Amino acid sequence: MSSSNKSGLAKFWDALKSFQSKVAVALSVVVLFILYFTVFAIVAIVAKLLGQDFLHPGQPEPVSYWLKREPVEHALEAFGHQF
Amino acid sequence: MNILGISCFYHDASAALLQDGKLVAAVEEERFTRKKHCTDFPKGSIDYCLKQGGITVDQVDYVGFYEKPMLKFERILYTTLATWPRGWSSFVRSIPLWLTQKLQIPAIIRQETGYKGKILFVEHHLAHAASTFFVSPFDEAAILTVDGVGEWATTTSGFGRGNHLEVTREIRFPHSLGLLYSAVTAYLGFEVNEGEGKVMGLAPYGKPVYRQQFEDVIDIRPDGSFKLNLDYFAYHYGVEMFSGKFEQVFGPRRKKGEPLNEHYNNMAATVEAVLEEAMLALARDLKKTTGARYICLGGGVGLSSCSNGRILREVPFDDIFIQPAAGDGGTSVGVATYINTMLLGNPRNYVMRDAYLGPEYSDEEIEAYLKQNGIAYARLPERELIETTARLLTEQKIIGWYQGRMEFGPRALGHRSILVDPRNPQMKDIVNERVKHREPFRPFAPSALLDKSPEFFDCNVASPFMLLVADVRPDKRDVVPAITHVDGTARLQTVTREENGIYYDLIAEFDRQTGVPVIFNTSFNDKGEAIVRTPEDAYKCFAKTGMDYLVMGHFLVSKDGLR
Repeated sequence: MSSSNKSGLAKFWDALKSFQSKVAVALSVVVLFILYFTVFAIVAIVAKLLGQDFLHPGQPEPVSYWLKREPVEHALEAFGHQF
Repeated sequence: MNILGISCFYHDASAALLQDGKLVAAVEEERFTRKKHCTDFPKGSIDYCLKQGGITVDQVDYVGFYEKPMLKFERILYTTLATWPRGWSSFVRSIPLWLTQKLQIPAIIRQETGYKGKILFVEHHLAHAASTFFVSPFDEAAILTVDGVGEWATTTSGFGRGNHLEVTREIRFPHSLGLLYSAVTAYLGFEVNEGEGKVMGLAPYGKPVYRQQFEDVIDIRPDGSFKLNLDYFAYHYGVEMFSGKFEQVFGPRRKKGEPLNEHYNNMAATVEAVLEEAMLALARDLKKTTGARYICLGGGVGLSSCSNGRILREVPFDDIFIQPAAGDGGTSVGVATYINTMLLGNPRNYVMRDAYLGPEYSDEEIEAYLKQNGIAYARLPERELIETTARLLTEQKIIGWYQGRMEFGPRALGHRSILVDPRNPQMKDIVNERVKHREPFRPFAPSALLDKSPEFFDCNVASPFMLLVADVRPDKRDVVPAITHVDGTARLQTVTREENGIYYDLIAEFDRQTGVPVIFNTSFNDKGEAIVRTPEDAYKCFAKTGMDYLVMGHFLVSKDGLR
């Protein structure tokens, strides 16, 4: 195979990858849109109806906004987790 | 025992290597990619750390990552639910990144490095706390970490003693001093995570006239805890930092490139005053609750040198420690020290006395580069090099100064610096016009001999990392006008021979020739660029800007000698 053919194929492959990437982005937006306006919508609406505030779950002391932290367990295993 | 700390995928990606408890290397990835505040996986940084430690990745005992990704993802999901349906734009932008990158950390680390051992995840603010306390010179200290946000926490406080630290309290997202400051940074037309220092520099040109209106924006309690009124903000659900209400109350935002005016100056002054008030309240409460003699600060807000200076002056702590990469870049050090000390129980045996933890290039390597590129140079003995450089400074030349190991953190501390004479009142404008191309309101900083700095600055402690703002003594403001800000202050770096070597000798020689033990020091880069790392980076920056001379190792290069 000549180098010009290789170059042509490489160009075609790059264009294909670029096209695929754009399709993937568009598809992911569609999937996320569906997810956001179905699953998230239901949970968010139910939570709102039940008075649940995910960003302010605790009831801070009236004189302070500090939240007490529980002591950390200093075991290697616990730190192997991503949560 | 080799522990590699990694921080990446948010801003200021970095890596650090701890060997038997000693920090042998730490560097930000931006220095390798040349992209400022680079977020990429720190491959270049890791390769450098391993090389500096003389090991391969197979000899690394533990790799530590600077946060717990699933906890952060939990925060993203909860925020999405809490702000539905306003959070769509943020959701569609962030989720693909999380699914393809941020939730794949172990796989990415193994794929990029070939590492097969144990990977540990340390909470973001624990990493900040460890990054300041465990490398501090203090055996006991109060610890305060303040930044934008980690997993959930935005502010934490605690106490460290010996090999142990405990973080006992926290304030959680969306209430964040860092994000408040960033929101005003965006309002003023500067880039978030980049322009906060500009706001700090702008603040002295204004007055905090909006402090009363800010009572409705943030409620600060006497114990320093605080709560934001989220009606003013949009960062928790959108791509903007502040909401329409913020502009209704404070007027339209400054668009990028628009001229600054009194209103914007006053906004900068107000948010700076609010930040300092909150930081002072936090520090005072910590003093009261811990009784500690010392305080260690961590997190991006720890780079706020004005509030650091005020804490030192106004809260009765004997001293303060802030490591040079107080922001997210420093968490690679934090996670490594946390694993070493807290999890493995190894004793602390390292104090960060200087920031010179990055790559260095020998005279042979520098000369090879100069020769290969046909660059004319003179090789001078050290004493002659120092005397010549000091003389050139007195002749009002702009000098690129490149020596030894590169600094860790955002400040140039005399190893990758641009130096000029601080006595010339025009020098700030000259450096801006010819080299740095920065906004004219931003101040430049001084490096001063520690033993003589109290003659010029109202600061009686060491400030080796340029993280304290001090008053320039009134009778000296006309002596060093180029580094004296409009409010009579300066962001000071103190220099000792033990820690700074040839840089100390240069300032001492400048002092001998002029009677001024202070030099104007700014980072070796052009606007928007990362600080230079290699001789090639340094030469390219020198060649394209208006610097007059470049001193690299023992070599002197003149602009006149350029081919």
